[in-house]
Amino acid sequence: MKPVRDLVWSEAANADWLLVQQCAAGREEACTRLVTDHQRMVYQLALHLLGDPDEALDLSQEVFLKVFRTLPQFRGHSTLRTWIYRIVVNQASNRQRWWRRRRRALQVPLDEVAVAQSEALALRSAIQPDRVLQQRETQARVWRALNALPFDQRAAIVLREIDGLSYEEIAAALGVALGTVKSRLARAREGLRLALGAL
Amino acid sequence: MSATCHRVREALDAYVDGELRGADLRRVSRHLEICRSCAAEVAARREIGQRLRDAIGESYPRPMPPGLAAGVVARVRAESYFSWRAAVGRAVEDWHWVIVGGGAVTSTCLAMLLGGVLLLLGTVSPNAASLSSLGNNLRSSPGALYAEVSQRGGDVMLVQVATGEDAAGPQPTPWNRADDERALVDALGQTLGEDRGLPHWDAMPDAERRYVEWLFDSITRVRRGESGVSPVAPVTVHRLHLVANADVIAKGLD
Repeated sequence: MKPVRDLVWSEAANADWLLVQQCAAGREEACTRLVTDHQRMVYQLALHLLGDPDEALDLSQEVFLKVFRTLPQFRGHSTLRTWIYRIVVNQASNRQRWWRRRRRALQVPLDEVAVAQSEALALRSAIQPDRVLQQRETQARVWRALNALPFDQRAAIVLREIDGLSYEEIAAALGVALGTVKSRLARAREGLRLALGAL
Repeated sequence: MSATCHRVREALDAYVDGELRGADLRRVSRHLEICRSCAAEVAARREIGQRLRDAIGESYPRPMPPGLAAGVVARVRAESYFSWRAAVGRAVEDWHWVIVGGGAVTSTCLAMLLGGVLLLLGTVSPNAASLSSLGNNLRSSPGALYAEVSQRGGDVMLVQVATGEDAAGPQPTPWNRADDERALVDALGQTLGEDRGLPHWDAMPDAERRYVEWLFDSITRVRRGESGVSPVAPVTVHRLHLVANADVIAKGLD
């Protein structure tokens, strides 16, 4: 007979649960801590999924408001981080559909992101201008290739390669089965490979 | 590409992502040691990930836009302030004593109303023929005499013997002389009296009127030759009650 694995209530989960309880009780310092602890994660995932810094910031606010509105529903079945990831993905997916209905062009925001990153890189490491230009083009291509992927595949590959989530966490964040995660990752990698080719 | 390569490549993404365990991991690792083609696939997948991280990932940390936490908390505070729960909570807090006072007044009024209803519905009006009603009934004048009587094993009845008013007119003829025509005529003469003139029948007291009627009936029966007439059936008197003011004084006779 297969032994039943004991449930381990980790310290991290305990801290998450405590934080959630304090937020649900309306303690503002706990709410502030929840936002500051997760804002980078939320903002970057929103940026990677949407490709627009302003939209990502706007989405981040929406996500945290949604988190606080639905906080009483958090039962601790997943980690707080995974639960928030799921809200980000759902909100970004809704916003993508809204964009698609209005035929919004993604080109300008993506270039703005690449330019901002390249300038930040140049300032920090004093790389020569031709290298910066090449780097900027590479980043723009990667952004375009990423945003050319279907949203589901893009979310899976970002959560895996950028945020480093396990398959189980990705499945929880996307609300799909493990097999679906594997197939989406395989198709996303294949799509990026075809789009990027040899750089 | 061999069949083994085909099977291994299905698991290459999991291998690259560190999701393979046990026998699967050993099988793929052994194959990659001997298969350059599959090893190249692994390298390609890792390069894709590295390019993503280089281009957009954490390797280019961006400063977080300031004020996100403060803005979110302010909006949460505003939403909770304007939520109906918060509004109800504030109303309860502000009008606490008014609500408590209003509740107390309302409950007192309700209690008084309920008590009044119970008093109205709870009192049972006494039976007009019952003994207790005689004492409580203000129409029972002091001096009225009631008797509990029964006729030869019959039910006990409450009978008014006297009205309590001062007796007016002559006393009745004794019942044992009800067959004596002379006595009856004398009694009738005394009752009506020559000196009283012809009395007005409606003005006569009820007792006197009933007595006169009885005298007439008795004289009529005697003259017809009907004898052995008894004015009332023999009865057994069990108890007498005298109304004195509002009280009933009882005295057992048997």
